[in-house]
Amino acid sequence: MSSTHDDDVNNMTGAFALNALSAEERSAVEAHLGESESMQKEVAEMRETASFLGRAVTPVEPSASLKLNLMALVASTPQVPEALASVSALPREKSTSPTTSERQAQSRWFRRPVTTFAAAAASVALVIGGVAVANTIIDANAKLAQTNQLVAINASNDFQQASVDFTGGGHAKLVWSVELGSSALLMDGLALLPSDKTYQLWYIDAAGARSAGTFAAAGNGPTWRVLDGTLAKGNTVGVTVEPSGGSTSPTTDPIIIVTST
Amino acid sequence: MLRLVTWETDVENDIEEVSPAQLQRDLIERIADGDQAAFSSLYDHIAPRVLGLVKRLLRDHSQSEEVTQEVFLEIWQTAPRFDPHKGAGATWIFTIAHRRAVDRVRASQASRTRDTKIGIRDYDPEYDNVAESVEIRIEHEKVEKAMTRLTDLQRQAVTLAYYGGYSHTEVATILDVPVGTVKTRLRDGMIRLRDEMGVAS
Repeated sequence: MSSTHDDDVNNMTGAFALNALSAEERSAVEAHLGESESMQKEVAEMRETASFLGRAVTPVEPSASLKLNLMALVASTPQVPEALASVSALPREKSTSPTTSERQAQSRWFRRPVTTFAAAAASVALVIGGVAVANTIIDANAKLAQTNQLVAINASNDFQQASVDFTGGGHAKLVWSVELGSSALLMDGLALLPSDKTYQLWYIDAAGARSAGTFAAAGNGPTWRVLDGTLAKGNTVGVTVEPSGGSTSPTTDPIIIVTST
Repeated sequence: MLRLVTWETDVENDIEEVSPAQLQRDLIERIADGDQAAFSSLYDHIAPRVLGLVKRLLRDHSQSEEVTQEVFLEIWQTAPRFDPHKGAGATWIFTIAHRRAVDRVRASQASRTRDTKIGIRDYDPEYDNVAESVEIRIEHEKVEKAMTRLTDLQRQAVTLAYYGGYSHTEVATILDVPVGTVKTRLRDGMIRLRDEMGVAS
């Protein structure tokens, strides 16, 4: 025999699978799920049923920049270790009404203990830094800071982006947030340079060009770099090829120019 | 005679016979090992359908792309804990996509109360006649057929909740019935759909 409350919870499986419950009711169902195998089965079946509703929808082609963005994020975003799965399962669903950026931050591991995150990032850096970059902890930390910053830009309230094609079939996208004063350039199809050359980023305005850091092309997959310094509204961002170590002002014509609005 | 084909079988198949479900499961398992090329393939394979669903709820294209990005980042991050015994890869992916789309709908509601009258439009599944793959058309017809087996109230409640992203209290307001009735109709409607579509775990 079950109580009225149990009957009510049992009656919510459909709404649960359809994400139509309030946060409190959702928690009540989740708490109940652990105790009832039959309810688990019903919810699993309803989730699959619901997914059929999702699969029946007409596809919409995403923009090319979405994949470019994602592949760059994936290259530097640690995965949840399998062993931690039970600990970190569904962390979002407990909080009643987190803001969008909070949720994004959580989902992107901002809340993980720093040591775990740094260690994971270091191992990722080892994997992706095959060309002689980022084998030290310092480099790994720099990479981590870059990643965190790129995620912060993507999660910002005033996120904006602009894309351009460049010579050689490449594609570049500038993403920025004026609120954060921060920007990153994501590039696909960037050629590798000889060891005595480097790519250099510049903020360009009426006063001239300010360096925003140097970077190397990724061996495969997209290259991306968060710009040093602060982006002001309307700044143009350029990329030139400079002697290794970078220059104080551009010595060649920009191969990429993107203007923020 | 009908011959039953089990898609989830582990029997070795020729490459031509690999089902989409097997392909997805294999890709997710490779993603769980940190394989970025597998992630790229999965994205190419399923991103338009994920965006299709998200946009169905949010309507705004750029917001829908943002949410789709969150969905795929979550797929990347949590692939190591995907358990194929608990359900198909597509179920896992569409569950994440729907939950995140609903989260975004609710978050944007904080600043802008949605007019529940607008919700009435959301009944119409709005299936377009644009070119679709055979796979999607078959799934679409399967859902459409199963939907006809529901009572009007069941179909309206399920459609508003799933495709409109409305909470059960909003559904109750729109349909002008008690919340308790909505909960019951969502459950028995989903049970009917499950049986009509032959879903069993």
